[in-house]
Order: sequence, then C-alpha cells, then structure tokens
Amino acid sequence: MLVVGSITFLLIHVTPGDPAAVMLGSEATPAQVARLRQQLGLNDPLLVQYPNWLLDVVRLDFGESFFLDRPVRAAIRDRVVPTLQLTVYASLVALAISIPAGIIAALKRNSLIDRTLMLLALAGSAIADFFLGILLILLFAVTLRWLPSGGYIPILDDPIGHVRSMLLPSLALGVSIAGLPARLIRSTMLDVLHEDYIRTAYAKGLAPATIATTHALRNALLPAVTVFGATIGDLLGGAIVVETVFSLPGMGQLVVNSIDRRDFPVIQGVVMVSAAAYLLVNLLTDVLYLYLDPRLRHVRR
Amino acid sequence: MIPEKPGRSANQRMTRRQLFYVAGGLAMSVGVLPNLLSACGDDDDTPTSVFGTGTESESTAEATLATVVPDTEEPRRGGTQKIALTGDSPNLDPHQTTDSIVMLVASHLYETLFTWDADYRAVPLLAESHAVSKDGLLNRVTLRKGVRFHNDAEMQAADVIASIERWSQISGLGEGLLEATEEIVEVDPYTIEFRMNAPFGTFAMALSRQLQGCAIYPKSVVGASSDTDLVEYVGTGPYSLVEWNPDQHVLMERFDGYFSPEGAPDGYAGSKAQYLDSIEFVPVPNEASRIAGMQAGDYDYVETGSPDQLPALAGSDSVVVDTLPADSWLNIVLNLRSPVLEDLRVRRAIQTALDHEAIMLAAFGEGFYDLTPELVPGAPTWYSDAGSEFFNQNDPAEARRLLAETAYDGSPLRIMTTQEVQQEYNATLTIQQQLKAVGFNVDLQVYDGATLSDRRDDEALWEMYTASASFRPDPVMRNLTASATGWWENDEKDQLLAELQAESDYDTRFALWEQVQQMFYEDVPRLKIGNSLRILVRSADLRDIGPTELQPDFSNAWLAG
Repeated sequence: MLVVGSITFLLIHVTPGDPAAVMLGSEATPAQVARLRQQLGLNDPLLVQYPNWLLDVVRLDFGESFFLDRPVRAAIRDRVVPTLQLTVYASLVALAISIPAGIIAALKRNSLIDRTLMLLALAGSAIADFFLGILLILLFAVTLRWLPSGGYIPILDDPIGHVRSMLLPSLALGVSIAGLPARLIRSTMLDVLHEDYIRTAYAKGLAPATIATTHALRNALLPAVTVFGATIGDLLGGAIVVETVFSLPGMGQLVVNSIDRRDFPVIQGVVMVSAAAYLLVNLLTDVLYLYLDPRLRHVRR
Repeated sequence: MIPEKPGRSANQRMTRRQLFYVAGGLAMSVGVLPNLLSACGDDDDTPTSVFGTGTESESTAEATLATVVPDTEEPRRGGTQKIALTGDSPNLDPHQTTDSIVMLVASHLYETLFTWDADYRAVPLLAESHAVSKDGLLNRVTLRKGVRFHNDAEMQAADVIASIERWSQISGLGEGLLEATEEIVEVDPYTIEFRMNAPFGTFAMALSRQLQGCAIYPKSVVGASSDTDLVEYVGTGPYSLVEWNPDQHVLMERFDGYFSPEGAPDGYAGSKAQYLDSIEFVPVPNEASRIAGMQAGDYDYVETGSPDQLPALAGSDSVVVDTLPADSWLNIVLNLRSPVLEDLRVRRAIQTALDHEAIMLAAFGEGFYDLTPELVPGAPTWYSDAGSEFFNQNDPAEARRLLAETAYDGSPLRIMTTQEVQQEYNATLTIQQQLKAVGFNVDLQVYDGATLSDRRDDEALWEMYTASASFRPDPVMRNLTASATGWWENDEKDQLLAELQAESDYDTRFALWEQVQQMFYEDVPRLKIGNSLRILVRSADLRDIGPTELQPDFSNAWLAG
C-alpha cells in the first residue's frame, strides 16, 4: 500500500498539468493561478506535501477534492456503491455463464457443443466490452425499447428501475469476463475427470450429473477461483469502459475524470482504495481456497 | 407563439477531456479593457469545437433532417426535458469556471445583470436600466424591483455588490472591471453606482451572460462561501435546483416565484415562459450512448453532436438534426517569441503555403466548414472582409520563394497538438504535410490536453499549435493582446483595441475593428483556417430553444405531444 501510494503520489506530481490552471480557466492571470495554488497547498515542496499526505492517509483522511466541492472520502463513498453493485451483478452473470459452460464443454469434449461454447467464450473475452455494450443498447434500448440506454437509479429509490438500469451493463461486463473462467473450468474439469476417484464414482454407479457437479466441480473450480478473485479485484477499481458507456457514476468514471482534471487528492484516494480492495479480495480468495480445498488446511496443520 | 426560432451557433462543448484540458479553453469573456486585457490570459485556444448546438436567427438554419414546425402550434406547458451532457457539471458556480457545461446548466438557476438580444447587444436582465455619464466615468445601474431568489429573499443592491466582488476576485474579466472601477456605491437598495477610473464602453457586456459570467447570488450565500466553494445553489433564475447527484443528474424544477422580464423573447433577452415543469441534465460521457439514448427517446437534447453520428440518425423520425451556422473557427497559433517565427517573412511564408480547403476537409469533412476571413463568426454585425487577400492563398511556389529570402536554416518547426480533439489532430497532420512541401522542417509533437495547455505557456517549447477559437459576441472579447499565448506585440494594434474598448458607438467601433482584423492578417500572429459548422441534435418534440451560441436557454422551450 505504501509503495502504491508513493508511486501514485510521485507520478501525478511529476506529470505536467496544473489543477489550478484547469480550475480557473484560460483567462486567469498568473497571479490568480498562484493564489489558488497557494490555497490548494500546491506550492509546498513535494518533500513537505508527501509526509503531510501520508499522515493524513494513515488517518484515512484523503483530503478535499479540488473540483467536487467535497472531501475525497465522500466522493469515493458516493461512487463505490454503483461500482460494487455492478461488480456483484457482473460476477453473478459471469458465474452463471462460465460454470455451466465449462462443465458442459468438458463433459461433451470435442463435440460440436464444446466447440461452440468455447468459441463463444473466446468471442466473449475478445469482444471489446464497449462494443458489446453499444450493441446491447442498440438492441434493447433503441430497437426494442425494453430497457433504458444508460443512467443509474439507486436501488432504494426504485428497485425495479435499478434492476432495469443495471441489467445491460452487468450483462456486457459479465459476458466479457466469463470467457477466461469458462475455459479454465473446462480444462481443469477435463484433468479432474481423468482422475481415479472419478472413475471410482462412475464405478459406484453415481449419476454422471452428480459426479460432475459435486465431485469433479469442486476440484475444477480452484484455478477459476483465483482468476475470478483477480478479476473482481480489478472491477472494484471501477469498470471504466462499461461505466462510461452506460453512464454509471462509479469509481471508474471518478478516476478518469479526476485524471483529466488533475484532481490530485481524488486520484490518490481512489488508487489507495482500489489497491486496498484488491488486496482484500485476494485475501478473501485465499480464505475461500482454504474452504474449497481441505487439503490445504491439512497441510497447515 | 414564436415559431421555432433558431439562434446562432456558439460556444462549443466537447468531450470532457478537452474540457479540463482547457485551461486555455472555452474562455470567452476575455478582455474588456486594456488593463483588463492585460490581466487576461489566453482566450482562443479552445480545442476545436466538436459541434454543439444551435440554430440561427437571421440566417437560414439548414435543417438536414429537420421537420418544419408550423407557426400555428400552441406551446404546451408541462413535461420534463432531459438533456444528455458530455460530462457532469464540475460545479454549479459560474464564477468558478469557463466550462461551457456550467453555463448550459447553471444559466437556468442564476441570472446576470445584463444579457444579449438577438443582435448581440447587451440589454438589461436583472437590471431595470443602465445609464452612463457623459464623461463615461459613472455607470448607474437600477435594479428591477420584486425579483426574488429561490430562497424567497428579494434581490437587492447588496446582493449584486457582494456577487460582483466575489466574481472579480476569481474571474479575469471581473478583475479587469474592478481595476477600472474606483468604487462601487449602493445608492439605495435598487440603485448601484460604479465610479470608474476610465471610460468603460463595454460595461454591460462584461456583466452579461457568458462563460464565467457574473451570476448574482444572495449576499448571505456569498458571505458563507469562499473563492473555491459555493455553499448553496440559490439564484433568481426561472428554474430552481431540486438535487444534484454528481455523475448521475442535475434536476431542476420551475421556480414559481420567478419574476420574468417583459417583452417578447429576443435572443437571450425578453420574457421567460417557463413551459417546462422540470429540466434534468444527465451526464452521458460516451458519444454513441448519447446518440442511442436520443434514438431510444431517453433524451430530448444532446449537448454536443458530431457529424460522424449523422448516418446513425438518418431515417429516425423522433430525432431532428440541424446544421448550425458558423460560430467558431480553427486556427493555428504562432509563437512570435520563437527565434524561427519572430521573422515576419517566415510567418508570411507559412500563411502563403497553406491550402485551407484541404485542412478543413481533413478536419471536419465535406459540408461542415466554410472559408471566410471574419474573426467573430456568429455575430454577423461584426463581419468584415478586411485582410481577405491574405486568407487561404494556397500558393506553395510563392511560399517557397518567400522562405528562400529569409534566414530560415531548417531548424525544426515544433507543432503541438492533441489526439483528444480528433479534428485538430487531423488538421495538424495536413498542415504538417503542406509545410514540409515548401521546405519547412516540421516536428509534430502530440500531447494529452492538460500537458499541451501547460506547455504552451512556455515560449521556449513550441512554434505552433492548432486550436479552436470559440464564439464571442463582441470583437473586444476576442483576446488579441500581447498577453494571449503567442504574444502578439504591436503598439498600434493595442491602441486600436483600447479604443475599441472605450468607445460605445457601433460605426466607430466597426471601423476600428476592421483595422485590427487587417493587422491580424498582415502581422500573422495566428492563422485563421476556417469556420467549423456544428450540428444540433434534438428530439422532434422539443421546440423554441432559442439561440445557442452561448448555450441554449430552455426557459422558453417546450415539449410537444
């Protein structure tokens, strides 16, 4: 975290572009810019700014946004909800697609179904999510007029509207992240299906469906969990493209806007929070690993 | 009711990237006084307009796909108008920023003392009247009685003075006005006197609607606010704020206590009928999503439309696209302090070499530009042909000959541009080729917007960059002073600008302006390439959006059906 924060701090301060000048607009006099820089504390040497900032961060105080008229913490708190929701929904979509697709493809290995599913998986991860997003908008919003073309409705304001507004972005994002886990599940399933204990299970006369879902899947899921954890960690930082296409006020949009405006405190805050979220998700992934794979627990003991 | 009354086209809005980019950007309102001018930075260096909105009042607005609205149609009261913005409003404090999104959104909440009529004359809005003493040293402003803020307090002289004082701390234009003002005196609650150091012929213009204009806030709000923070969004405008959820929407509703000015709507002036119940501004950063949302009927108006989207919109019966008359222009800013370009003959060689047609075609495409020499397109009363003999010469052979006469030694001509504004980038590539062909050694440097606007303040780093000059209602607001990037130093020109500033008679001012424009072409501080034409995308149901050069005002707009 210290490394991430320090690198971010250094990078944004050595990058050209002056937030004071951006704020004031073009006709600002040098004197006005200088006054604002003073107010914003940008005139202090980096060696003073850096420890100050570090101390604040330790106290979880990310400072005040230059542009948003509010503390960075409040700005992040507002944006984190749509991002979290999108991450959860998209993950559900991805799970709902990748697990069945992986299992079926493995069971019907080298059949037409397998080939089709894996081609789709490849297409899903290869297609740019903004393009998929636009296609979905054109189909469901413009042509069929079933769903809104974009915008965000908080779940407490209008639950149905919320679901309608989140459906297309979740689908676009979910499909684009489902490809890799689907392929992983398929290949590990194939490995697992050749294990002796599976043959034993067949010999015992268990139904193939039971074998696939209870005996094989649990082992086959492990690598997919790792990949999934990493993906979710990424998404928590904000799905920039999907948020932009569907006009969702999430972390991705926040950070992109802030970089454009050189809103230093927000950039730093978002990066720190994203890094923390990433670490947290990875930790959770490891814990989940222990739960899914009893062998690891035994090793520790 | 007034037929669909088109306005003129104006200030652009573009992607939000460009926006922030532009410290040098969308500023208008630059200089109003010589000292004010010197107080100001750069104005014209807006990234190329990516087409905004607007229609035309005098000239014909050619509607590519437009349906003609019958004059007889009665305005309908009610409904919510939804507007797709290219990005969220960075704040709701016009004093703060030259961002044109803020002007579009906030001008419904707040009003200024003056505004523009259809001929771009500054006329009273919150003011009742304005009188100037014979010697020009006293400006007396009388306020309209009975104007209420959204918090129900009456607007009085103290509010106006407090707002002007805050504004002049923050904005270059306000600083200039303050410098020219000896003192501001509250004579009574409805009368304010500005005692000036020097005649200020453009007093009312300075306090009119514009980017970073002087919105009038209640004194109580100003008192609790700082330069960078406005504590409450309270104005006298026809719509009041319901809520602003950043990156989600800005929602406002009709202000029932609004005290409308009298007279038929005329430009931005005249009565406001407030037909719409509410107006919702929704940030939709992705262009394809904005257009899809228009087609889906989710929005009634798109802040910025690109001609690239025309094919997608053709054939839609719910969406109307109008082509707007020119109001902004592509230009090349030259660095007159560069060792290469300080030689006028080298600048003349560049001027002679360029084929403007090819540049504009590459940048904007067939049908979306025109080539005329005037420097304030959109304000037809200021049209002049002065200097047209130097405009668009397209004579590479002559340019080569001119260049050979100079001491040009093949040192690199550094041209800066950004890919964030595709039109500018495309134009720059074409310019690069044309200059290479006549013997210049061109070094193309591509930066992101914020970096570009940082670098151009340093005279040692560049020779040229491409930029867009946005709409100005009056030539005095075009910053041609030595303080503008490029550093055009010419005493005779500065004298003319000062007279243009102090003078109030139109004919005299026009003669002065023609001389300035002539010098612009003879001295070659910048090169005007051509005007860009913007398109306006709106739902077929949206009527009477008025002029658009300074963003539309929806106070008289209504939704049919």
